[in-house]
Amino acid sequence: MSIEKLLFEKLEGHFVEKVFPKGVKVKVAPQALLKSISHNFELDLHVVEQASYSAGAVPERYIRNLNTFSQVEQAKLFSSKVAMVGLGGLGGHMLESLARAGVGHIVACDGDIFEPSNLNRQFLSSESTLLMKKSAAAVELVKNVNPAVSFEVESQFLEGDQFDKFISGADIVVDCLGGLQHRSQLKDAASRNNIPLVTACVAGWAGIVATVYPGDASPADFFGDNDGLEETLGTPIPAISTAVGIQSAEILKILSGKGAGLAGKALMFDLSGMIFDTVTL
Amino acid sequence: MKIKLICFGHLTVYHSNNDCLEIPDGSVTSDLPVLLGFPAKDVAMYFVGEQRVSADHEILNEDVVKIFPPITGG
Repeated sequence: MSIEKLLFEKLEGHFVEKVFPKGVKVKVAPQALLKSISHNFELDLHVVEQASYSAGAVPERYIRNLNTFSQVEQAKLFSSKVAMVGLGGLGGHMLESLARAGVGHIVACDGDIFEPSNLNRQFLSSESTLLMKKSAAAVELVKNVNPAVSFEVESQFLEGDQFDKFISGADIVVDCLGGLQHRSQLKDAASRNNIPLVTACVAGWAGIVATVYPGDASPADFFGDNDGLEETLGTPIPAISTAVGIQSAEILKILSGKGAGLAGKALMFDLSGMIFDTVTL
Repeated sequence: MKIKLICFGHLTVYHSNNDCLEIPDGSVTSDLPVLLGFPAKDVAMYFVGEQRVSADHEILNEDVVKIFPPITGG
């Protein structure tokens, strides 16, 4: 018996119907059922969730995503692939957000280790992960938060043409880099591969988020060779989590088919004065 | 002439976003750092309204001008 047929038989008849406002009915696959099938047949939870979607049911863990995302949109998230560069301030929160949302395939890279100066903001850093590779902490996070995500990580800093191979097959590239050095290289690789890029930069209370389709301008295009002001202004957590919230909303809207809100634009914010402003680049 | 100037990041040190700013007629965007007393390299982008403009864009009376610094942290 094929795995697909086996899974269909094990899932069939065990879904729970949930009725949403406006009478929208959704079949829900209970978490315990998916976990037990995964365990009993030694199947990756990703494969079991895939079978659930194929049978027309949303895994229970995503039920609070509905109806912000429709059942069809949630399934699109599961079949999507995100390539994210950087697992530091922006990247740690981003990885958590995308994994919880139910993005099915994520690849990430970072060659760094955690240092005490990361503890003020980086989600993957903790007393227990100090001096640990950020990539190793990322693997643990995904395993704990959503083991149904197909997650691959590279423990190295990529540059230039290396980005092309890394982002190959991705639906979206996410720039979670710090500093300016590799941002334009990543943007160029995304453009060469015809993949949209969602980028963010922060310092102090301020930040900027933009969606960059091939040929579009990115905020970093205008930063010259400045090293940025974060070395003097620091990077406290409110600007980081605000930027990631905007960035991940944009990513999930694009992947689900709702469409980008910041294509050719940027959302600038300054939390010191609670200013949020969307501008055209 | 009088404009509304909105600064982002550390540029708020040089100008309160609550205040309007008096500038000479005929001023262009790159005159703003000089008028406020900070280096031009501290501005990455100028905007008038919602549109990015160049450093030599002429500012008009009652324009809403926004200036954003180069920040690259993450």
